[in-house]
Amino acid sequence: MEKRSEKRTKNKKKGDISAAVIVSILLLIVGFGILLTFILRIYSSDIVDREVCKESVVLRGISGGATPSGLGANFVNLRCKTQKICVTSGLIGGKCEENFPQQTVLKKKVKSESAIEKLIADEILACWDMMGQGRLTLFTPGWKAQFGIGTSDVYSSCVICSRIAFDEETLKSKGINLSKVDVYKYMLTHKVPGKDFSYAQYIAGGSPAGVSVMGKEKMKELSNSFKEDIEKQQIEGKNIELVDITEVEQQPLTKKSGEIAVIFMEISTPSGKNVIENTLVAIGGGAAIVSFLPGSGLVLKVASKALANPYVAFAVAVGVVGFVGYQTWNVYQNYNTAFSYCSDTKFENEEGYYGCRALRVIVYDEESIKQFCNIIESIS
Amino acid sequence: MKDKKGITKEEILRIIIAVISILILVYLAFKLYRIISGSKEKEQAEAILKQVGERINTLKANDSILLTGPKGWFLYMKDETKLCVFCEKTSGCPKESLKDKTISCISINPGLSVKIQETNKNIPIYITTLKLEKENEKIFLSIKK
Repeated sequence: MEKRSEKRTKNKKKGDISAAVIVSILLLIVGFGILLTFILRIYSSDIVDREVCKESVVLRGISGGATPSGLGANFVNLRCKTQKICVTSGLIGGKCEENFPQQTVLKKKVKSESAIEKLIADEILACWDMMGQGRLTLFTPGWKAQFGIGTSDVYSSCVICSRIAFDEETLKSKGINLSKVDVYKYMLTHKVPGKDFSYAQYIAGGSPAGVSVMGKEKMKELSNSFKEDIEKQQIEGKNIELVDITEVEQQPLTKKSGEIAVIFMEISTPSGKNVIENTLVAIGGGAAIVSFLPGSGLVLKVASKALANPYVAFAVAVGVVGFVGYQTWNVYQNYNTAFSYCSDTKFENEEGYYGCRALRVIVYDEESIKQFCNIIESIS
Repeated sequence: MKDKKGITKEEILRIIIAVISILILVYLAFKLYRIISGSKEKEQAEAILKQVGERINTLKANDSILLTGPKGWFLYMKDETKLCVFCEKTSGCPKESLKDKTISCISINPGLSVKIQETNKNIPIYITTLKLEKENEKIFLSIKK
């Protein structure tokens, strides 16, 4: 009888789960669910959502900031697909079949040049927001540039956020003249919807970035009269604050181009100081590791004896000076390369890295893209 | 008797080994992520392949298309029925994307004959304008110069 009651007691105890265990299991399930959602969104083959792109940008930006010299950024792939937009004013059609045959296209109907300006300005803003507002390190120079031992590792990286094609037939029928479209002026004189600042102020404010709505050749034709016109402009009754963005003349859209692209571009190169720091850290780290290896004591003795010889010491000194000179030359060359891509926007030194991040609205053709981009990271 | 203060050599060694091990683990974690997320260049190349394939299959008149793919990747015709993409460069090619192991192909509509008018019969997809010329059911691909 006693044994039976003991058994019953034991059986009752077996069915008893503590609250802590239940909470732990629930937390595990919720955590796993969140992780799975995140992973599925990042790894999804349907990369059409700008939010997915933005998430991958943030992840890359965090990885870049978390590792020395931002090299961690290179391990995170961006999941950014180029948005295709057809600007039309027709009721039917307007898919810009010539530009985007058999492709998923976003159709935007407009009634005026101003509507086109707003559309392009909004696309620039969306691209800017998607790419981290110019505050994240997304593209870093390769290891050769980090240690000043090459010039092939400094290149401009681009993400083509949008391609915008124009259904010229329907636009012309509504009296819309593409050559009158002036996006830059629109961005300077119109507020971002729902905000108290202009498009230009939003993009330029608080981050090392610039906007260029033109090609490099046109940059040489900066017009003082244009500056004066802008000074007289007003944003909804209030005098606008001139922002430090390079002013350019809007290139009229020609029949030949027919399509424009909104591109985010970034290039950077380490300064001489950064190269020296990276080199010293590498040498120090290597020496520390080697010192714990067996036989390192013997190696140290042999090296000390060799350096005691004045000829050997002189040769080593010449070698060191020569290597530093080689690094200096590479740093200088890389600086010029970066500057050549940034001459029409802000060229800045951010934590020892020279370069720029810029939004560009360019004609979507081979010549224009080659002018600004070495590597394209978006998926067309 | 008081214990001696300070860090011994053995402890320094352990700390260094621990730091190196952590760095290796972090590196492997990134590598694993990269493997799971797939090759970005392969994805870009396949998107270009799909676009060109669709353009060929629906081509009515002469046309051109700007290819904005990664460096070191090329288009070529396989068995005259498939348009394929492969990678060929010093380093950085995914193993399955080498020419003799190409798996990324798109079928061309039967009845269409496609020929690449370039040396080596390859077309680079890195910032290149591809010309498509149609003569009856024959389509010729070349690079716009």
